[in-house]
Amino acid sequence: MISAIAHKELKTYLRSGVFLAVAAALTGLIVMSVILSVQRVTAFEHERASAVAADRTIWDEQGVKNPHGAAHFARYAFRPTPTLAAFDPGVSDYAGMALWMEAHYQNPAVFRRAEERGDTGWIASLSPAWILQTMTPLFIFLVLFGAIAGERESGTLRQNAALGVGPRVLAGGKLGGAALSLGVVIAPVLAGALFVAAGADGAVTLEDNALRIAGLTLAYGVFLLAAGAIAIGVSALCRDRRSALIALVSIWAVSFVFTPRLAGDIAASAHPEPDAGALTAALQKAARGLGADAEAMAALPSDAMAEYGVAQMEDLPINFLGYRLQRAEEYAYDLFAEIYGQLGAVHDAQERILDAASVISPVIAVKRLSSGLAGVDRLHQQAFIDGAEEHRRKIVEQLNRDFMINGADAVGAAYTADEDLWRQIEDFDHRALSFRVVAGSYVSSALVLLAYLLGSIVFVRWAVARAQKRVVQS
Amino acid sequence: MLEAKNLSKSFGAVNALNDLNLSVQEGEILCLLGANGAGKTTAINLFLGFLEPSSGEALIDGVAAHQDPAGTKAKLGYIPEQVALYPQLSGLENLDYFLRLAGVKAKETELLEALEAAGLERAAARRKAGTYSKGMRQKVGIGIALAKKAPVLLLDEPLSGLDPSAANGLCGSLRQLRDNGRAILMATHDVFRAKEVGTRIGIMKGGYLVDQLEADKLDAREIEQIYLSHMHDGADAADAA
Repeated sequence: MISAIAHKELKTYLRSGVFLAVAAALTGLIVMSVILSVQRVTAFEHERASAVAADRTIWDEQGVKNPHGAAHFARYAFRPTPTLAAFDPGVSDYAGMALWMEAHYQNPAVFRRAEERGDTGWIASLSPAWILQTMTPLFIFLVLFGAIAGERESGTLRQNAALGVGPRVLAGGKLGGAALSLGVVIAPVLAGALFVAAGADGAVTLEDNALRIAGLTLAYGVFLLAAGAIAIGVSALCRDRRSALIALVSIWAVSFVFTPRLAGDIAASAHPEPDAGALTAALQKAARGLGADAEAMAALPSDAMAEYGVAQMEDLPINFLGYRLQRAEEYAYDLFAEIYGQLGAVHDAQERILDAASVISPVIAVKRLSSGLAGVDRLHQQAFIDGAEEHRRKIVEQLNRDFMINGADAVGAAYTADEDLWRQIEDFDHRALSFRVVAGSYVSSALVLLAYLLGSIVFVRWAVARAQKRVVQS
Repeated sequence: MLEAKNLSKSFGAVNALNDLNLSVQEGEILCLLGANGAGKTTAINLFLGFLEPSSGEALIDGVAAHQDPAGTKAKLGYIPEQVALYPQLSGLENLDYFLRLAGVKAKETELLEALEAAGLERAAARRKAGTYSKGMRQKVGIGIALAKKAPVLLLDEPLSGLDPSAANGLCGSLRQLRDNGRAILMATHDVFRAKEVGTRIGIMKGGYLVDQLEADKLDAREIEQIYLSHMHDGADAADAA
């Protein structure tokens, strides 16, 4: 009986002009967003590849200089464009995609695409993910608002009850029909969007990407099915189609549009980030940390002599300036960790607010899950920053050690190196987090979505039973 | 086939149906006549299992409707005042769908035959139901009852709003169903149509079945007189008071 209802629903929707018009509009929007997103990501990836090549050339051809001077000249770490960024740009437009790996400083990421967009920003935000998160629930509500209210108005709800159709069967059939009808429209477009988006070159394996796409499909399937169940439930609770439409559009505006925005604003105002000036000042202070620590500075010669087993500074087999520069570098590690740790704590607190808000707005949960699986969330950005910092420390140490060892006989910074050394410095090679790590980090969002689906199924079953009871007793 | 035993239904302080006793056997049509609020639709809702009796029983083939709603509904055909159809489906598709809901699978030829027997032509059966007149929709309702092979039919004002030609056609179909052994309970306001199709006529007033008449022993004029006299009893009493 459930399948009979589901097939009737599918047949009815496919013959409905309203359904076809709204479906065409949605398909058009998604196709347009895929084209725009792929163009955007491809252009950015092209720029990144050019910048990576230019950075290598400039580094190799910097000429003869002191290795520590070269560490100040520094290199860039460029974050590869995540494969699924064309599907969901996440925070990638707002997070920096490059890091200057300079000696003494753990610089924040720079080159935010959002800063370069100007007036065309709203078009760039038109991603397939945004359409699935925000516009598709509206499409679902516009299609399903009459699901039960319409049957009540026309009298078929009463006739179905006379044939012995109970609320469980009716709710199941309606939900099945909605899933089939919406699936006919959304599934090919979603599959196409993911296929095209996944075509971009990135830092994840093919297998990992397949798992991410499966995860995204599941997450959006659950999210949209829950939206369908909410629509049918609300339709069952309302007296007529008109009031159902008003109720659903209101729910969409509050829960799917304003609440995510409001939650973001509340999170940002409750836990504000330190301003850029204060962050720069703190980083500069950390970079000068060893110089400001008289006791540590005073202990450096004895530390060096103990480390190399000599009794006098003159007997050191290394360049002491190189040694001091490397120690200064290492001294700042903990200070940088503290500064960025505080910043991370602010972001964690903001995300806790968003997690709490996802209870009243499922779009927040799917947004977080989507950006995580697409590799464009804070978790992936942090992995890039951590990887770049590790690489910065490695190359600065490599240069400082060359200065210390090969410049042992030179006075002060008189020692110089050339492109033989520069060529030994490896490019930054970023690997994205594995699917397993990402999935483990978003268990709470996945559970919220699942709870939404289960809750909405219970709700639709109850609402349909209530509607049937009212109509047969009238 | 269909029997009410001391059947009563109250909604709070309002007694909608009081101590109803009636039975309809195979090959019979019992027409319930009465004004709005007389209790006709409440009686039908009790037989449909939509309402639980306050006391007494509404039996379909010996089984209480509220105790086995699924089992008794399987034996029922229900035709409301306005048969509701899905406008985007054809009459044929509507019939197929409603039968599937009732757990009956039928071939297309069987469906078309049922609709034809109900008076709906094959070409019309393939048209979208959104284009149907009320009479055509009622015919699909009869078609559902026919194809479902329901032994008991409940009709709630099925002739209301039909033009004379459509009403005649529907009455013809009902007589055929009666002659084929269906037990039919029909609520109506129309004394003359009740006389035309009914085997017996029950007169309801204020939730009571106040009279039962053998339709073939009286002419329509006499039935109307009896009906009106029952309707005026209360009014006369009130006037006298």
